[in-house]
Amino acid sequence: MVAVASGGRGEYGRARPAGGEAVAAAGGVFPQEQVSMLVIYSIQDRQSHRKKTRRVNLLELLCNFLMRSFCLCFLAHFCTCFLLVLPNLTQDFDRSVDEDRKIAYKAAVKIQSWFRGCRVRAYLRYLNKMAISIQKWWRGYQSRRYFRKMIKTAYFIMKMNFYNEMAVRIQKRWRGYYVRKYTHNYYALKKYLEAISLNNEIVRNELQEYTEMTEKEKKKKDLEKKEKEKKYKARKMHYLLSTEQIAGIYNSPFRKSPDPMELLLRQSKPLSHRRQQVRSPFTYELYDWPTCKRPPAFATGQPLPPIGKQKPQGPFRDTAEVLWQRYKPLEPTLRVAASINSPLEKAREEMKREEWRNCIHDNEFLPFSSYHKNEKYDLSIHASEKTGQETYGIKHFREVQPNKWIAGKGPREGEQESFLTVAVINQ
Amino acid sequence: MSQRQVLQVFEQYQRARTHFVQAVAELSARPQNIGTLRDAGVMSLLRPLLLDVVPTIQQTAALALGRLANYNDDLAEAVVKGDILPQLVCSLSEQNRFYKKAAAFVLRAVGKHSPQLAQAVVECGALEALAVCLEDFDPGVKEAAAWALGYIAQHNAELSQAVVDAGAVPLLVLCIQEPEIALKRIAASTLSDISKHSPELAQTVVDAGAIAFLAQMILNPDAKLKRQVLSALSQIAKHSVDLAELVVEAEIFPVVLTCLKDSDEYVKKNGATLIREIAKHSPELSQFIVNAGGVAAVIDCIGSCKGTVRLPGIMMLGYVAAHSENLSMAVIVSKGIPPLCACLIEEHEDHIKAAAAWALGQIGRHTPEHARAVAVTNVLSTLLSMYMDIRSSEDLQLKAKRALKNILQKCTDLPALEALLHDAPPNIMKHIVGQFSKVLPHDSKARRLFVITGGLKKVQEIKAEPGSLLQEYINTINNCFPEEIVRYYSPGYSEMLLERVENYQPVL
Repeated sequence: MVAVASGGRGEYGRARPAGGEAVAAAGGVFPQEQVSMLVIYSIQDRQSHRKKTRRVNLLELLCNFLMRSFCLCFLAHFCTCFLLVLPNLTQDFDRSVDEDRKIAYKAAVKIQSWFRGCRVRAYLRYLNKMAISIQKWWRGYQSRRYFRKMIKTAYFIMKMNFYNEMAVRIQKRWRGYYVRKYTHNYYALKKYLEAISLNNEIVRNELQEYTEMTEKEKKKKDLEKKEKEKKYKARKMHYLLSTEQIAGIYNSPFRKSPDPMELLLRQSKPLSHRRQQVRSPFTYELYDWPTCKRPPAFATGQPLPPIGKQKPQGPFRDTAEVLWQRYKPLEPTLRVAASINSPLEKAREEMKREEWRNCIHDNEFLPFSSYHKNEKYDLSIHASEKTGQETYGIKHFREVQPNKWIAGKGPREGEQESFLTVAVINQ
Repeated sequence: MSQRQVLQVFEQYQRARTHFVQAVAELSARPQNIGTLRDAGVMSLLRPLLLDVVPTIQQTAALALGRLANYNDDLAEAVVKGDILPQLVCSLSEQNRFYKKAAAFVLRAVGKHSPQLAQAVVECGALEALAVCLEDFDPGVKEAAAWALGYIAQHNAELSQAVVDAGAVPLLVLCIQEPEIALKRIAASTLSDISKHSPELAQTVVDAGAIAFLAQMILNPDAKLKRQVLSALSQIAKHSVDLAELVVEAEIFPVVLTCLKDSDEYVKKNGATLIREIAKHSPELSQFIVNAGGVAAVIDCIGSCKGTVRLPGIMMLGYVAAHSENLSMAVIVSKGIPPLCACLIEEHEDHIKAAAAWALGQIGRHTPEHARAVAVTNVLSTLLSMYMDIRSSEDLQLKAKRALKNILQKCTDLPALEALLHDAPPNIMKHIVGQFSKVLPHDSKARRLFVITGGLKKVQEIKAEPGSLLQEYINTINNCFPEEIVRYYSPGYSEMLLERVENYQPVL
């Protein structure tokens, strides 16, 4: 079958003016279709790949068209040649030979050009086919490579998905475990809350104990204070004790047993008088020593009697006189007698005496009224001294006689009270 | 002779002056005389007596002035205007201790009324002189000086800063260590006044080492001292987490809990305040307090007190519960809810009720467990009534509403929710119905109960705007029940049935 096609090519390649060929060629048009169809089917048989059918179809069409057109053209041309040739057998030979030559030349050119054209087209077809073949193989190769790569990636992705899923499972289990064990540990929370309740109970008990203890202590203190007050009152009112003759108010004869107050009175010691604090004698001595107001005590005294000496011979003076003269007290000059700082001291003394004199009483003014809370009440003159003629100014003058006091209270201790701070007052 | 007569005149005058000044001092101790004294012009008469020759008269005059200024701020202003303060400040450094006490008393009396007067005192240079007095040997002088400084520092931060700049804080810390109780009290109170204004001032007090001594004094049996010490520690701890941690590191727990059992009301209050200031900063500190049993002690304290004394304890529970759900559960487990409910009902003051409502909201807002614990005590209806009551203050209404909202958003306890269903306003109704719509689809027994108790009927009667959240919830609830029941309970069903009866054509 290939021979037919190539034969066709060869046939067309040769420039044959003979008409028979042309007829045969023209007559072969119809069967040529069938031939071309056979060619096509043979090509199809050779190559099984489906994709070529389209190109084959195109090829088929092209072949058909070419062949048909070529045949038609050739036929037409040959017919004109034939027609032209046939009538000019007898006429002007020269004109017709020249024209024939031209016609034959043109025909030859056409044939040659067509043939060249056919050759080039055949060559191009060949090149095209080769190019297609190369591209076909190359594309196949590339696609297979790409396919392999795709397979690899798909495999890889599948593996990774699998790993991820497995990892998720592990993590899920782990996270659940971790959270349940450490972060939101239900049992630990339960234990913790139980421990808190327990601890709260303990704390509450301890605090309760503490409150009870403080209350007890407070009660005890209050009781002790009351006891002390009672005892002090008993000591103060010791005179209410009953005697043999007169029953005291707490020891009524109609009672079975004496009142507890009576017993307390019996037990308590009466309060003693408060004595005025005696100034130590040393203070005066030390005060007067540098100023020499008082003579030194050890020098004078009873002069010891002589130890039975003979009266000394000679016109001596009286021993007593001499002794007197000898032990005459020192009569220092003003300069010696006065101390070094004496004018200043005198002035200071003056000032102090003046101040003392100007104050109405020696009690220091206590600024806050709370200081006056614990003051002793001074009995008035009428209550504190006995009736009758005043001995003051007659019997004694400006002296203090504690044994004459009735109530047994001393003078206000103005000097002894120190300036009390707020602290002591508030306690 | 004539010399004696002359001297006698002077003696008389001196006696008269002494008598006058002592009488004025006595009279000014009683408030009813002060008006008369002021009208008689006592200020102008006392002023020259301050410069008298005789020291006793000076002291007594200063004392009288102090008492007058103490009573009224007009008189204090008169003292300031009469330029008496510079004289006092000068003599504060020279004279004997009685005069120092009296002068410090005047400064304190002037400085206590208002920041302007205190500023006037500061401008006379009184602070340095008072700081020098703090170093005196006599504890009475120290006490008077510390008291004056305290009253000056209590007004605002600038005055406190001025006191600190005069170098008073280390001397006050030394005063705290003295054995006299009154001096300790006053020094603690002054430190409390200084540190309350700002964190920097509190840090200055802490840097002087005050916390250790204050912590030791918590054990002292004197009630007034404990009040001041606890107040000082709470003023220090309130500013920041670091300061609160420093206070806690001084090992005040669990000793502070004994203060909550003291017989003195204000010791309890200040102790609860201190614990509150520590608990509010961070969950770790709250955790520490809970672990030390502080919550139980505070709850007992709330139960045993009445009135404003309870307020810091209530707030402390709220702060602890607000930090995390574990702490909130700890509060619930320590039986914290009943005292709070009791507070809500019994108290008369609105701000205490508001605090109790807030605390309950903080406890109940974490999880359904917590909300159930709160709802079981039937306190939700109390909260609702407080919210609806027009006589409640705005603060109380707001707090009650918020607490209700927070608890309802987590509450799955249907009986409690149903109790509220009947008289709740629309904005609360939304939450209640929302909760029902979450619970009913999953629990058939609850649905049955819902129908029986008339909840479905009530839900049908609620009018909601179509498209609103409330309508969606109602639809969800209606979808949980069969059509017949929903139609049965919808309002106007009986009329509809009767109409059908009317329009019915009987089949003969």
